[in-house]
Amino acid sequence: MKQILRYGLILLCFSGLAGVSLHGVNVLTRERIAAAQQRALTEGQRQIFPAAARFGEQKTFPVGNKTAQYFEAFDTNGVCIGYELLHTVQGYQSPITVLTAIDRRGIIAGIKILSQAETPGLGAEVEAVPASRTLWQALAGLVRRVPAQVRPAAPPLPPFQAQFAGKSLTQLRVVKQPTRDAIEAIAGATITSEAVTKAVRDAISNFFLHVAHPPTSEQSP
Amino acid sequence: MSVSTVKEVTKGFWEKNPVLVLALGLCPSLAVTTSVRNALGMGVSTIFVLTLSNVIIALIKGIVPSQIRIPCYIIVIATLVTIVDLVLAAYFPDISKAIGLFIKLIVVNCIILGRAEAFAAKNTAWRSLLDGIGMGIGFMIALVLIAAVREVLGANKLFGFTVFPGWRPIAVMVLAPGAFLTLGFLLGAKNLRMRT
Repeated sequence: MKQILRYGLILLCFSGLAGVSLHGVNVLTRERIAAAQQRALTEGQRQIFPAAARFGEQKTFPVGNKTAQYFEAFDTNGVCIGYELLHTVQGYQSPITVLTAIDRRGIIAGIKILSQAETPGLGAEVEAVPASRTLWQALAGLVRRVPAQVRPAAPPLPPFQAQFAGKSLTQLRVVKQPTRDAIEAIAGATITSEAVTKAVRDAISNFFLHVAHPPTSEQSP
Repeated sequence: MSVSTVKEVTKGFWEKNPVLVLALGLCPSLAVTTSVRNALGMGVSTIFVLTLSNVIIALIKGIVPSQIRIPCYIIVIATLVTIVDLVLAAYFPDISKAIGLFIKLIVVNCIILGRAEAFAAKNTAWRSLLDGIGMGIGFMIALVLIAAVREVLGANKLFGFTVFPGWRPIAVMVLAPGAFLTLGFLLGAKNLRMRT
């Protein structure tokens, strides 16, 4: 009995120390992490919606029993040309946060995954960008010291995310063959592919349900 | 440095390789070895965390009663991993973007607990440091070996660059069965060598 109490106390001390040190580190790093996330959000907003000149304040809308965020997107004349929706869903092993840019009719301009911690090599491939050169070209480049090529300002979007551009709500199904009318899953990562697609689908459908309405037929020419 | 000091580091590289001989940490060895880049990311993160946890556990081994050592080690390792993850995210966002995924996976990597239990709990902090570095590097060597085979055969790539333009790769090699096949052949080859 005395032994058990002693062990319990020692474990309590360890857990207490761990808790205190984690709290300390959290306090020290919290603001910098939030700032880094804010920067990633701002960069992502511009990258997937190049037509927009500026974005409005963050507002919220309900998705099921959770809340998601949206931003209005304005062109240079201050006319609202679309929205960006921020929604988080559970992936295979981590929460996945997806930013979706849509125009006023609900057609997707682009999506960007802002954070995920899926399995490297499988689910995490939703953020993979393939190299454009072959191994031999890269090695030859190393030897010959070809002057560094002019790099694009922003890295290209990963192919998995790029295939969302131009799609509408009804095309957000996940299939396993190459296609133009649906979303092609990443091999070996169906659950992650489904989760990202669900994040986009839920965000758009609930946004039009609760916030805006797609223009009705009388408004279109 | 004495011979035994060097030996403490290098034993993990090959003859006591954590994956190929001790069969520790097989879960990440199978999961992240789809590309050499991933293998390196996991390897570097593991070297770092394993060395730190080995040292801390060697330092506290005197005050932990042996009956509850496992939960104590787990608390230490989980705390350490979380601190590393937070500090990287706050001060080195680029590194965090590249290896943050692996850092989170390290908590469940049994190499860390295995070395804490088998080595750090019985040796000095200095020797545990050497063991951590050596075992970490050995882990990385095994991961890169598996990943190189799988990436070339399964994706026709190495470091993300295409190897044989026009050749259609064997897709199953980047999926789970390919991981088991590659690991099996590597373990077999290693065993053959040890027996002769």
